[in-house]
Amino acid sequence: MTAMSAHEDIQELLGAYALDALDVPERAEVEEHLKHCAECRREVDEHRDIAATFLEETIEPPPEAWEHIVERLDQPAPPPREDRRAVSLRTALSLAAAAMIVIAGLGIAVVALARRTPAPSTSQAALQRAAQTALTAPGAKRTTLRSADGRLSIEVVILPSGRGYLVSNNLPALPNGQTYQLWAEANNQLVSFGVLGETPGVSSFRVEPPVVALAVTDERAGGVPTPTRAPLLSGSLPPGSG
Amino acid sequence: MGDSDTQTARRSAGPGFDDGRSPALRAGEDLSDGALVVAIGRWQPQALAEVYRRHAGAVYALASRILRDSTLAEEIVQEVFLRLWARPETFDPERGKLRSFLLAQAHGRAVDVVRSDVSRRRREEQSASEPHPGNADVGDQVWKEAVAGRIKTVMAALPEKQRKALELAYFGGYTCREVAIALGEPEGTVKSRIRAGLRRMRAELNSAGIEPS
Repeated sequence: MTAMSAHEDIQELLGAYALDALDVPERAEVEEHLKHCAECRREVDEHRDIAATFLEETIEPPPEAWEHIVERLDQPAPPPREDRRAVSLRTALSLAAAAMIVIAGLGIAVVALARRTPAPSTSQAALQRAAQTALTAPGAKRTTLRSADGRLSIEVVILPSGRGYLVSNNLPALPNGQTYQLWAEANNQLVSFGVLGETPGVSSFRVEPPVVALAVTDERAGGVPTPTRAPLLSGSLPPGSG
Repeated sequence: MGDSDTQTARRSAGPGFDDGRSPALRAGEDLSDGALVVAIGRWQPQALAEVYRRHAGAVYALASRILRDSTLAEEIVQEVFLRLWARPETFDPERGKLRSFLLAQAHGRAVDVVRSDVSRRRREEQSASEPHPGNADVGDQVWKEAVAGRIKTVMAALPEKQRKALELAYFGGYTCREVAIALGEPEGTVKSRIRAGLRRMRAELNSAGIEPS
């Protein structure tokens, strides 16, 4: 078959494709076709739904499996999540790394940027550039989160759009198994803005009313749904930000 | 399958976010799979924990069945959930259920592993038809068992050659070429049988009023 294979020829392969039973060249051929054939995509999805019923048993994985996942949650430095809609239009087949991801709804999100390796990543470098640009952008407002004793601080800049950056900080590295976590105060409650890792770098987030302040706690790796510690640092947002 | 899965998950010893203190978590348990993936997109680890509670058992069971090796299966579980954490946008709720998506990911990865030399040698020492001795969740709902029974019945009712082809491909991780050799049939026939078998199962399940997955 050539890349120009007829739709019907591809259709005959869809069951085997959905079960990962094609060899590499045929698989590639099907994937090429799926990019522009909604009907065949739908059929593959249906086959996968059926295949998912084949195995009726479930086996709980050993507890270490989850522990290992939690340990690695703040390890990769995914690129900033900016535009979910654009991303969701990609098909699941697109293996291209999504450069941008979304911040929707409350607009509450933060990029986990902590890495255990010191090597700077391209996404961290890009964020640093974005944060530096933000510092001098028109209408940008700056604020500082401080610890009670004033020794720890995080410099924050917030653009008129509500996009904010943790620009720099003097936080000490946490021991393994712990992470800094950023919180937004809204309606007298703290809402998680995400984990910052054990050695926070530049992070991006977005604030909208009714967020009035930011706070940072130290928590176990992976983060927690509600703070378990008193904030290490906190600070009000400049009036009119977001 | 949200509700019965959630019930099952609550009973099982899952990830450690269930500390009984968190209203956010209890709310998370009521969220749909789709809503949880959106929350994962906002870096909410407790949403990942809830998805894990709901689906890790199925992912692990499938990987164990294909790989017949608990260590390798555990690695697949980690990969699948870390990938969801890093790239939640690859799941499109309009294209199917989260469980199907996670199982498809696990299947693809497990098959890649199984086709590597080391795993293949290890696996060939065991019989392909030997049932996997898993500690299946005995707490499952009666309803779920009834559905499972129907699926089994539907599968058993498939023509023998369709069923064999499906089993070898899905649980054995064999390519169509290998299935063709095992069954002594042309490769094209095997491909057709797999597709026909899947379509037939879908039709039978639909007419029995069972929504797959």
